[in-house]
Amino acid sequence: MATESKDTLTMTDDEIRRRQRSRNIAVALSVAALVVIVFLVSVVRIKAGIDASLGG
Amino acid sequence: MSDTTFQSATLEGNPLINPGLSDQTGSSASKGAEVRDFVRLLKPRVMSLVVFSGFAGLFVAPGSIHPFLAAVAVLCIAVGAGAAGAINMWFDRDIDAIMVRTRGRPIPRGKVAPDDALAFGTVLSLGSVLIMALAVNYVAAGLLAVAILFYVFIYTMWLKRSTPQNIVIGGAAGAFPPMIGWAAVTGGVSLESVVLFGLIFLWTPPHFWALALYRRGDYADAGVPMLPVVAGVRETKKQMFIYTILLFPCAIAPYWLGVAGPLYGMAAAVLGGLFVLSSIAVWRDESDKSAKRMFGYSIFYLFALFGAMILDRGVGLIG
Repeated sequence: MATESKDTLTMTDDEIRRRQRSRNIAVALSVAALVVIVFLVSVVRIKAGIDASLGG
Repeated sequence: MSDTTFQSATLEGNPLINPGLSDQTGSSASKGAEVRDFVRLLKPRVMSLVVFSGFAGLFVAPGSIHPFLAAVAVLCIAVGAGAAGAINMWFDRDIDAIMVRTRGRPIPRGKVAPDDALAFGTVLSLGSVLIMALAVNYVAAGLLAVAILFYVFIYTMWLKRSTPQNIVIGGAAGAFPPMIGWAAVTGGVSLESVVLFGLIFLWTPPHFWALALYRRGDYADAGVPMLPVVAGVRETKKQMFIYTILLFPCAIAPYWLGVAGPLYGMAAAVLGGLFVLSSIAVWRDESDKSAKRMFGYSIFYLFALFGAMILDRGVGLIG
């Protein structure tokens, strides 16, 4: 425990679990956002490609 | 005293250099970390300026980009800049623990383990460049990668602790965002985007030296050879004045080049004139009051300058 910060030393197990859960939720939301971004980027770029081929 | 001698004399053997950090390596050390501690690693206040200038470069660039891809480009610039900041905090954790201004950061406080900060910064750096390449174009992605690498390796790891010119050369890293935004639209680099780069490049030294003037004791304690510490207050004030003079025409150049209209040109002249006056006030003031005021004004200056550029372009688009 000597390597733990002062904040960590004074935290209860419930508090540590609560913070861990918050971090997990943040990671999950970030991954979900990444998936949505990649999907929408694909849609936009494919649509731009189709428009360009029809126009050209 | 040479710069190298200065560094070794003040850093090596310094017992104040965060004694507990070397043990705090496993991810278990971050188990008390909150999400906001990781957000703080991204230096949100610096990020806001990066996002704003990046968006300005994107907005004033000739050509068009799909709004969603523009948003992704700005997001990538923000995340890339933040990631570089996280790696900077990982590398500078020893001196951050000494300096009053930085000792509250997540790593010196023991909230986030150094290894976790490094992994966090590395993953976000790679992710931001990759998404920029896939969503926008390779030139913008390449510039983003260069900006991150320059900030981490050239500024943080090399220049910052070795020369009083650290923020002059290192300032290039912070000058990339408008150029990246421009490249996101045009797919290239041009004279206009180089001028936008030059604008932030010349703004950085007086901005940081104003801070270093009233924090010089902090920098001296940490062994960072900022100009006021190494060359003295008088020389720093002279250099600040020279850079504000050089910045003045560079800030008006976007108007001359047709990137922005007369509204921006007038704003750049007025804001630039006030910046020069503030550097004269710093030169004549023996206390640190004017330096503090100039630091605050320098932030306002850059926001106002790019704000005027966006407004000018917006008015032009509506008209």
